[in-house]
Amino acid sequence: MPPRGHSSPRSRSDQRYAAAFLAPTLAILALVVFYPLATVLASSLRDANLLARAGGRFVGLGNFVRLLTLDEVFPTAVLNTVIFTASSVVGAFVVGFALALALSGRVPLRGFLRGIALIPWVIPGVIVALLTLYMFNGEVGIVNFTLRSLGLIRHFIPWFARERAALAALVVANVWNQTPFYFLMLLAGLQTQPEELVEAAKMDGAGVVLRFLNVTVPHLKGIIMIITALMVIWNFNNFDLIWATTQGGPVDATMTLSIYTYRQAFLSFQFGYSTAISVVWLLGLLAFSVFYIRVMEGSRRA
Amino acid sequence: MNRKAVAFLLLAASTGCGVAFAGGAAESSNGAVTLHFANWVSAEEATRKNIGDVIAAFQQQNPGVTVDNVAIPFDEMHQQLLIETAGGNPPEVMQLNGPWPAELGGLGALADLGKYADQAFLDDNWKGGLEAGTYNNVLYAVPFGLTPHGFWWNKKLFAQAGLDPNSPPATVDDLIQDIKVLKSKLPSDVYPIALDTTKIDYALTEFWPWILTYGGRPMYNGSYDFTTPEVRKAFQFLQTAAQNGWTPVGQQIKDERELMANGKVVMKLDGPYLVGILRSLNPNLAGQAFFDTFGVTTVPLGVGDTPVTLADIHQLGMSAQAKQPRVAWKLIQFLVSSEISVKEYQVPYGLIPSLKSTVAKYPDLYANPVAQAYIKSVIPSMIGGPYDPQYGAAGQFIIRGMQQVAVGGGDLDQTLKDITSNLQTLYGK
Amino acid sequence: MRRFDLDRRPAAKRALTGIVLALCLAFVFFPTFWMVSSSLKPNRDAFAVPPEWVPRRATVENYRSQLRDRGGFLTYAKNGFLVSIENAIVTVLVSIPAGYAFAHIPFRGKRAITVLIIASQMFPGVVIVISLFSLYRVLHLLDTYTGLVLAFTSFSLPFAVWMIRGFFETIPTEVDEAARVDGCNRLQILVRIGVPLVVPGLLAVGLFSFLNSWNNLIFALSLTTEQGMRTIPPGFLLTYVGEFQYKWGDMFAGSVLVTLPTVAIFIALQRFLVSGLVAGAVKG
Repeated sequence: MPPRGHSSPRSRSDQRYAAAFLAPTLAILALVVFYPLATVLASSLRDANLLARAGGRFVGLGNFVRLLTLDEVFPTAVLNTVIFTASSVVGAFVVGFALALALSGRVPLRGFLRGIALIPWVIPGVIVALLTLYMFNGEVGIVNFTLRSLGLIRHFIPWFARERAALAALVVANVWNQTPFYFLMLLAGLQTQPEELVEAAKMDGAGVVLRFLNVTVPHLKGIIMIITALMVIWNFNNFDLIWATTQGGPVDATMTLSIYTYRQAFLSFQFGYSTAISVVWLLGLLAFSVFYIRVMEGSRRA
Repeated sequence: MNRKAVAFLLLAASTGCGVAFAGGAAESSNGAVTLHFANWVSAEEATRKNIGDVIAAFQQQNPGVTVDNVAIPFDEMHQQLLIETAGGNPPEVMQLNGPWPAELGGLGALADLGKYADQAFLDDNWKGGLEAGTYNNVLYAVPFGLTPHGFWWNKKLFAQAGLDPNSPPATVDDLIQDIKVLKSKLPSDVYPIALDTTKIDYALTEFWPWILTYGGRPMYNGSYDFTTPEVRKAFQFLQTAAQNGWTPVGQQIKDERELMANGKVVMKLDGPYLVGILRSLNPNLAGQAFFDTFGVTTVPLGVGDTPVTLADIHQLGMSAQAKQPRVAWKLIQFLVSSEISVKEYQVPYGLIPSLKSTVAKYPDLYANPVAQAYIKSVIPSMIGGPYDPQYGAAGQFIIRGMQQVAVGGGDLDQTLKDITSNLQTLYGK
Repeated sequence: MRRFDLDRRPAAKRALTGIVLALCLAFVFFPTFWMVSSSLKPNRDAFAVPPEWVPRRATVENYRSQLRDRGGFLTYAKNGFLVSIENAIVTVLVSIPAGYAFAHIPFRGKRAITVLIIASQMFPGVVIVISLFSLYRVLHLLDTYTGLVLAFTSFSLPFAVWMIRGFFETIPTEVDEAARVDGCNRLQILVRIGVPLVVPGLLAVGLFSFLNSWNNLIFALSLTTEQGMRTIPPGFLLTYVGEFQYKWGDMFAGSVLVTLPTVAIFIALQRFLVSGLVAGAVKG
């Protein structure tokens, strides 16, 4: 917390150092994020076209009113974004945590397996998208063949032509892609888990499950919260995977906010409107993170 | 404050202040001209060298002119042209596809090529080819190579199903009869026909000819009615095909080609470049074998006796901001008609030349059955698309409707009504 | 709970660990395996039915042709490595003082600036890129490494600041106090005492930044026009995703080729990384 007495020479010097230390970061962000952002934000109040962003009629909050009251796709896009984000984050968390637990103990070939587990994250995102398309192909995809030989399905599923299946396939691919991030962070967290705590819990007669819930999870809480916040923000922005596979279809089943924003700007040329969507999205995420930071700081103090 | 901290600040400030002392792009004063040619041809290793040769030849013929080759992936081209145009730095000459000339031209980004093209050049083009680049009576782009969709069928699979391998369906009714025979006689993983309903651009391009052949002309001449009997028939065909397993749903046009190369799809609409694609996917189709296996003709007739297809073609446009339009036009002409461009780019890429005189000049290059079918019947049947700056917005409603009837279990009439009302709102009718 | 007490059933515990590990590894490994397998198939077999688990006509031609492609694959890989490494260095250098300031210096407006920095990640890049393009044109930053590095920094930096702040928070403030008594100013404390203590963390943040640039498509594509400036994602799209077809074999071979060295570096650095990551995140 900043000191309230501004007059002390030390706090003044601190203030200056803080300014100097933050300056490079803020300068770069100002140049490549905030300045461009400021120039487009104004468009959200205009009926602006993509090729004439500053032009267009001034419509005040018209874009927002239309978006929130008339637009039938917007609620779908919000819902899909939330589903996509939540299931991706939860999925990556569960698989990443399981992998981290399994690979933190003594396992043969541990180093190698840890390396393998990181691969999905190193493959360029565009390739992940195309690999998804290839593996989930309804006619020749390996996913269908595998599911059928395991006896889980009888007929091939045309993944990208079924509304639920399409979203499910994308979530699975996304979880695969992002698991290494959770895996790595949680693996790191597990390394520092104090042995004494685990031993103490064992002495108390706590079983594996209890120990996990009472010792391991609280220990990792800090990491989990930070990574989760980042994952939520990143997944809201997930564009490459969905655009390269379904472009939001079939029938809006995979239409997320990022896809909808893109379509409005680059296919419909309604730049003002797409900026309005982005602004609503920004405000939503801001509210989420302010709330989240509160919760996080609260739990840290506790 | 500590001196190092001040230095930090100054460094940071200088980064931020860069905005202030910026100038315009440098123009060289000694008469040298640099043109940027944005295209998606030079992406692949094979054609990259070829288009490089074409550009080198142009530079040799035009001393003082430098052409910068700007390679952009096809799928990102539309977006990138928009970003560069919106950012005030568009390439002078750009390769364009299907609806883009009307979109970019309508938004004021393209130059009127009617000012530079002479009558002889225009007369040498096919009518449908020029239509595709015209919007509001302004010629925004000229054809680079002709690639309309024809109707392709697999003769061997026809024979296997007991159909005459050399008589493709002449009408849509024949087509449906043939589909039923193929479906019953061929293995269950072979689909009689491929209809793409996935990605917006590709799927629409492949579907328009069906709407057109049934006599539907929605979005042409200011009518946005998709509930007409003609349009309904096309959507009905799509729905029936998807529901009865005539077509592999969810397959993108690129996947359909793989399936076709492997004998899993019997018929589909596609461009003349299909020869090269199928050969690359199946080495057994080299040389004459291809023509023994596949044939191409006009889209089956849905109404009347004049076949029709969409002029989905590759085009060349010039930025409205081009500083040296005459030189840019020279480059466009060179790309369209020079011998080196024809031989190094158009033929290897599988395009039919846009100028009639090119065909006459190099008859050997176009003697194969596919080129002949294209020149004699498919190309004369093509008409321009209903393109305008709102087309991209409209396309999203149409594809949504196609997905609804094909895979979403949507009611046909309700879907067509929805498309119509959405388009009418969009176009302010 | 008693019934599930696995400590009393070591066999069950081992079996459970085994099954969980096997399932997760299968999930993670399966697509990787499929990519490698497909990279060894000629293009014609990409759509073979049924799919071939082990390529029948295995070939390394896909790999060979990538490594021969000087103007293409090799250029993209070189650009990708260079730009990503530069971005990692810039990000780390810039986020060190910022992270330190957040962790150890009390100043006014801390919370607001924290939110501002996180908020920079909440706007779709594709909307910003248009305006960024105009700015870059004016600044002559199009088609430059500097421009790309700056753009990539816009999304690796907020993350890095957050992480590095966590690392610095693991250093007790008493250390600062002691150093100040000895006459060190903030900068000296940072350089002489702070940085050496968080080296593993810097490595970790560097790797994250590296991968962020490595994977970026939209900025890499939009802010360069020359083929010689393309990084891996736009370069790969150029080469493997044509107008008419995908080149599956080449695409997967190229991906394996660029993935291997990075994973090898990861495995080598694993030890430092693991100890580095944790400090940053635990404290947050």
